[in-house]
Amino acid sequence: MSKRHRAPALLLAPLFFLLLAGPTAPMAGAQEIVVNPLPAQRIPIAVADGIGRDGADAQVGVEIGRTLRRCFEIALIFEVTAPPTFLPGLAQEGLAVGETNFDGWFNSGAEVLVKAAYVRDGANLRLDLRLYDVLKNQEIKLSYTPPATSGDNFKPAVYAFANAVIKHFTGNDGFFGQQILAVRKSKRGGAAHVVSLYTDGTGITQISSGSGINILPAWGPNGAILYTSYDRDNPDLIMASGSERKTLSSHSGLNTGAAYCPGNGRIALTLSKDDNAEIYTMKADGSDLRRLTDNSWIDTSPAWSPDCSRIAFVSNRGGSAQIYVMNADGSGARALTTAGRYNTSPAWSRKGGKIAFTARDEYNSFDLFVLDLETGNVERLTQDQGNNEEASWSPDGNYLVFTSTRDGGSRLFIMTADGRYQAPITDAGGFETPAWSW
Amino acid sequence: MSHVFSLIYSLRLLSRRRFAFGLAIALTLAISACGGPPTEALDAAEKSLLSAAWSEDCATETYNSAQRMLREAQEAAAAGRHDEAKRKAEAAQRLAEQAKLDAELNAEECERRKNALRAVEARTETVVHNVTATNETETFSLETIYFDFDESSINEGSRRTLDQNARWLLNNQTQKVRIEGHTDARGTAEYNIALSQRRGESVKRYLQTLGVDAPRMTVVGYGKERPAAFGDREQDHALNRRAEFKTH
Repeated sequence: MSKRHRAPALLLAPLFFLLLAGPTAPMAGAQEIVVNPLPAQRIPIAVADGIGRDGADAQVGVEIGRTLRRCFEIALIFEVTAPPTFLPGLAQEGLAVGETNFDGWFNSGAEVLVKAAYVRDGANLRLDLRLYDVLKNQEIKLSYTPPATSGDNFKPAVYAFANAVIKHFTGNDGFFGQQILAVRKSKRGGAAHVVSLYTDGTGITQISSGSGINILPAWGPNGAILYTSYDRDNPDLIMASGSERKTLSSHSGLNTGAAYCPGNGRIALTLSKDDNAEIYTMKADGSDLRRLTDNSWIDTSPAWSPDCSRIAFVSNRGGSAQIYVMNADGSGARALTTAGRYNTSPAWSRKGGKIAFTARDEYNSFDLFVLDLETGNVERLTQDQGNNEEASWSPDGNYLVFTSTRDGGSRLFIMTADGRYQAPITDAGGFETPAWSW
Repeated sequence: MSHVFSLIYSLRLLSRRRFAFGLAIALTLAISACGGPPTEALDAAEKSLLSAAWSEDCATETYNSAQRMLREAQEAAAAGRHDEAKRKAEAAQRLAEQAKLDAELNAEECERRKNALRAVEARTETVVHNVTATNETETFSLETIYFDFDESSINEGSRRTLDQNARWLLNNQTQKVRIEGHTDARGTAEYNIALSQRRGESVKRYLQTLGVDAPRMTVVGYGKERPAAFGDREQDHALNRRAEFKTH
């Protein structure tokens, strides 16, 4: 059974060549990757469909496989290999190392393997998810506690497993199970709604209602959701918590772009009640309004520093739209960007030290850049792939979610903080201004 | 591929043993065909583009991208970069299908945009031919004005339009007006809203200098959320950078 059955040498030659020619990081994947958070190239991973035990519904196994594959496609550091077709027996293997045809998986192009088994335990599904090192013919034991599955919802278990696998290979926590807010439009000029979704692009839930314009979502206190709605023919600030919708700010003109800072409990936002877009802060209940900017130019798009002491924002006070920073009381404003004539939508890394923003480049395409606050260096994150805009950082500062038109439509993508690995998380377009959960 | 199958078929007629031999030849041919130019993918992409041709006006950017992608695929195929050609041909096909879908979704608005374009062209002619006409009529409607990219200042042509709008507002003192500022589809959402608000405010200020009372005017900035034109051509963008007037 376990005797090695290598495919004919001729067919395998290109594979060996690739393995020899490329950097060997994937080989080292199982051992030392923790030191270097990102592997030098994507690690080829095979994901088998789940095996149902004791007559459990086979379709569930297919769903588990699909969810796992989607997670690893979005996890950025993996390349999910095509299911092996030449050895159909691989798909029916058990979980034990002795039952695993490592050579078969290796010949299918995989260096890492994921297998799943499940059994019905009363009302709940019980999942057994495993990771294997195909090159070393052994199982990789993950240090995590699998969550209990409630009913048929196996997703929390799959997310926790995928996160543990990411942690194993990068040393960083995974992001599955976290949520993203975004605006979704069914068509241009049609209704715009605030939605929440999981980082794997599933579970899209509409937050706003009606047939109007609801935009610029942000996370508020205790999981509340802040957004701007034109339901009353004026851009008013709404706070949604559970089924409650509360109007927080409804001055005539703009009440837009709310940004909440958990550290001081205040919301920064743009109001134009004094005839011009200015930045203000207020308490999360809408009281204690304080004006931070005062000039005849546009000041908008506030983004808090992680310690709530400073605010990055956009102003065209110098003649073109640039990123500025000021203290939380409005003092000490200064420009952070000077190159180009259109730098907008700042997002402050939650680890601090970096601000991502959207710029219009010399070819009039919109792309994402990141500014290092310590050195003042600006690095480009996207290029030559449609328009890439409106970035938001993951809670750990290791990833960004953003919109891209590279595949048509405006889809949500995620990338590593250095822009090296990027992947779409939504299958359809029509998404705007994502905001990653705290 | 058809010659491969006919080869199999004719060999099969000869004998079973030779069939195996024929199959081997066919497989060899099929395998070598994998390394050739991706004719099928290119054909499929061309077909998709043809059937999406009508969407050029309504989903211009996507359609143009599809065209560009197909051109690059053909160039790659000609240069022998077959993998790249196949990838690009498939991307072109996807883009063409997306263009078709977008155009279907936008059909209604696309028609509106075309009408708006025609209206702008007609108005330009009117302005040229009736410079001296000063007649005010009851049916006069407040005219939309347009802005340059990332600009909220009022240009010379818009001043003339606003002068007419102000005259009408002064003659109809009971009317209140809502000034709605808009931007084109390019750029980020929040900055666009602030820019559109600023456009509305500069219109309000200008009308104030002409004697229209401030309390009669409210300003709402819509950013890029309510386009008048749905394409991605420069003309479409120009039509969207505007301030409209709603009386109530």
